[in-house]
Amino acid sequence: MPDQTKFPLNALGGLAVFAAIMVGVHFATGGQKGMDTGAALQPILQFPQGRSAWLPIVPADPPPAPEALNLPHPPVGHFSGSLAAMLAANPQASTDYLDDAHGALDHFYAALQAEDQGHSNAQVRIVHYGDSPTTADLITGDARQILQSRFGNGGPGFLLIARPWAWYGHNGVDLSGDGWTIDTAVGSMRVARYGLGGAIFTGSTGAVSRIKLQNADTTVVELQYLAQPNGGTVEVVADGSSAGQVQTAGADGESSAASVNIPPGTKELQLRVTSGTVKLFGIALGREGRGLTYDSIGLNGASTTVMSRAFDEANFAGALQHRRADLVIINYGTNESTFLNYVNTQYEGELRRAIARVRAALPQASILVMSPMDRGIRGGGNAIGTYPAIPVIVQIQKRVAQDTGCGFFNTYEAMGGEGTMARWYDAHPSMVAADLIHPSPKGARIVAQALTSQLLIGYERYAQTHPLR
Amino acid sequence: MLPLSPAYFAFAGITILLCWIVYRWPSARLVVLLAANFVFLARFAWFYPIILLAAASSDFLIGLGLQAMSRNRRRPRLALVTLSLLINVGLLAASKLLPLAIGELGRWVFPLSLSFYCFQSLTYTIDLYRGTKEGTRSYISHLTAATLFTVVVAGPINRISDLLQQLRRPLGLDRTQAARAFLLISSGLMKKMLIADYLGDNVVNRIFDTPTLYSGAEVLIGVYAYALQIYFDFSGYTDIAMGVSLLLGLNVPENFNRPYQSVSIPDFWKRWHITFSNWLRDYLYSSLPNAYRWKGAPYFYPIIVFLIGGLWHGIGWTFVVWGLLHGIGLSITRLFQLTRNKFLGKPKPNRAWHYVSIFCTFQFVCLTWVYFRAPDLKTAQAVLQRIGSGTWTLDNISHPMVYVLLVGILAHAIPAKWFDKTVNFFATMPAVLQMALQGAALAGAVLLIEFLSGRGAAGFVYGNF
Repeated sequence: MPDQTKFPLNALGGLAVFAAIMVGVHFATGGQKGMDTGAALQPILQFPQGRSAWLPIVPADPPPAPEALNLPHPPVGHFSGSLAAMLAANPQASTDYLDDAHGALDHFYAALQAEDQGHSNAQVRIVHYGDSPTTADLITGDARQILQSRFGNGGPGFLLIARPWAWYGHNGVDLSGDGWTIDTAVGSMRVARYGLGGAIFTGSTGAVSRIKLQNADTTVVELQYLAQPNGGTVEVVADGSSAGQVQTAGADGESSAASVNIPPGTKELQLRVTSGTVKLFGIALGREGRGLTYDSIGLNGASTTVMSRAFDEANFAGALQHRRADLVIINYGTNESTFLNYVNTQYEGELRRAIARVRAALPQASILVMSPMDRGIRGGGNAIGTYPAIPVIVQIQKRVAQDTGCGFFNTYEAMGGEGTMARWYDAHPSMVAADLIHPSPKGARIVAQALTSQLLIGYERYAQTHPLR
Repeated sequence: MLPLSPAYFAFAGITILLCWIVYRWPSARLVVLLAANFVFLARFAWFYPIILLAAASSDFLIGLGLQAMSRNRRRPRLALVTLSLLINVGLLAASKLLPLAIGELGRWVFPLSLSFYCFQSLTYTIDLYRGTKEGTRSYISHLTAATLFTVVVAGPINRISDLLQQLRRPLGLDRTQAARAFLLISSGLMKKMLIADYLGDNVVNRIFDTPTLYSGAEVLIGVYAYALQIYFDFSGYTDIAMGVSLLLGLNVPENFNRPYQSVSIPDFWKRWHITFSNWLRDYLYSSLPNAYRWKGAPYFYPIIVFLIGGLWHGIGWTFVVWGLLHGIGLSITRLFQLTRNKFLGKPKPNRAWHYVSIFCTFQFVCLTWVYFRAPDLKTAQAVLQRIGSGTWTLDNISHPMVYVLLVGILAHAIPAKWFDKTVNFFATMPAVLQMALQGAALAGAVLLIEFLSGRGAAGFVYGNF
């Protein structure tokens, strides 16, 4: 073995070439790629500090529990006993994360009150627009369950015809479809008529959607579609039996809807195109009588621009008016956070434009701007921090919401503020996926609890100062 | 400072250069390595260098005692090895149970798992007790070997005496070894960051987080994706550990040999986490009463061994089920082989049967991975129920996911000799060209990862155990 005791010149040369290339690329790309020697060397001697540095185990820094999360769970039942009692005992219970200084949510609260006291047969409807977590019905699914347990189950709500985006889902519903051509507002990013849900499904004879209803809690299926002169027919099949047919023929480009009653206890629905070609927006699954519906309208990869630009204004307004939403939640921002320059220069205008569209469609309805969650990014030494644009977006949203008479829910601060995703990622089990964006079911539940508990405190305060006549 | 972070590679690079500077003097290299181990451990918490050096010192003293006593003195020798067992198993058990004892498991973490350290340390005292390996009288050598930073996080599990033997020699690194080291690090980085992390982020984590939102076919693909993720994650880590160790002049054993080409569960355990299964066989199975004399041992002992092997990964019912499934799988396979050979004779090699065996073994291993990956039994059950739901849509499986899965399958199938041929190709070219190309290959791998993945790496799966 003649080489065995020689200086490893060959390997040293290899390392030198490697280092030279990496440092060269670092300078050539303005520090974006390659090796930042300072950032790589600095952490080597950063030893842990403080008393915990001597311990074998360290607390995994659970997310700080802001006041919003320490509230009792929203009560089940028809009277808000525990929240009312809690407010009586602690009138200072705060809505620190919900900004509603000028009664922006009064319309929504009034609808809840009427529902709560049995003074109305109308359902309370919430329409929640969001991005990928909403696509998977994370946060919204829990919020729906919490609010429905308090104000009554109005049914699963709005659902798309098939799964156009990765991870699209709806709690309690199993959806699959075949034979549909899908066009989404995010996918095409052109102005078009996308109905309420941001997508349009074109299908010819044989196209089918299968919807399994885990809770069998639907009695009315409303099909929302785009009428066409030669529009085809859709058959609604409930547990294998035909429940009705919907003819989609009509004036070209007109948004329409038709309801079909299905037997109580139905567990499986099918929508079958039996003739011609149809263009469908989605279905609203509901039940007769009072209750609350919470539509989760998640557009995967969506930003505010989808609502402010891609939705055809008249069509979008018509869809919102038809749905008679009492509260519209605008919950974008995560996807914009990648583009700090855009956020600083154009984002505010887009948000104002989106709000104006909703306001024009539903002048009476409450609008709630819901900030994005924290979003993690890995930096030097693999440490996870907060995307720099997130706090900027939150501040813009807060200011715009105040200016435009909207409520504002600060999701970012309610979940713990800067660095939350780092703590959530390190929690066991982790409360955010490895992409540092999408919360786990546990993380989503925490955000949903924060949102709903703040809304319920706001509602109880409203109810105390606005007794029903 | 986990492996794969830029700081780790900078730290490893400095340690390697210092070791090369003192390449002629083994004692000086020991000092450099021991200091590096100390710094590496202290970066997790000061507790680790203190407790591990204390535990390693105890094992060193126990080793001195075992070397000093003749093999006839069974009782004192047994007492010494039992003391070592108590120290190491106690440390291991404490690391697993302390968080449970203090409070909710999720609220406390051990920044560094001690599982690999404890198993590795026990090889020294048990080997000395059995008289199968030589010990050392060099305190610094033992401390260095026991706490070697390249393997202390997640293995491979070395035999301390093998490391000691290598540490006695001056550092040697010929051209073939240098080429092998560079290629191992490059391939390890790509395995981990291009395949494992992609599959984890985009397929596995999402599907295991919310299995009920996916069709049965998608969840099944998620389970297969996890099989690939954990292989490329762990074998990627192992490649990096082997490559860095090699640059330090140390050969550490291989941990994987295309495990998903196994034709049976026993074959799988000869190919998957090889140093772990060898440890279980050599130090646990063989220590059970009459392990090689009792006829029932091959059918009952694997269940006990793998139950303990499961708990080695963590205290939880999912690991219990995972271990039991493998233990029962091993026992049933042995029983089947025995019965078949008795009544039908040993079968002749058959190509079709070979592929059927690979397919069946892979499905069984994937079933066990469901329990290994799921955070609790409820989620594991939800995953299996979704697979059995008879829903077949693939809306959530995008083309890039399919491409990465295919790349993973192809990469797993690459014959070992291709890697050796590539090493030889580098080692036989002109020396200057080799220097340039092996450095450029490593830089190319890192830059490819930077451009394609854009984010830092997630922690190693086995770093948690």
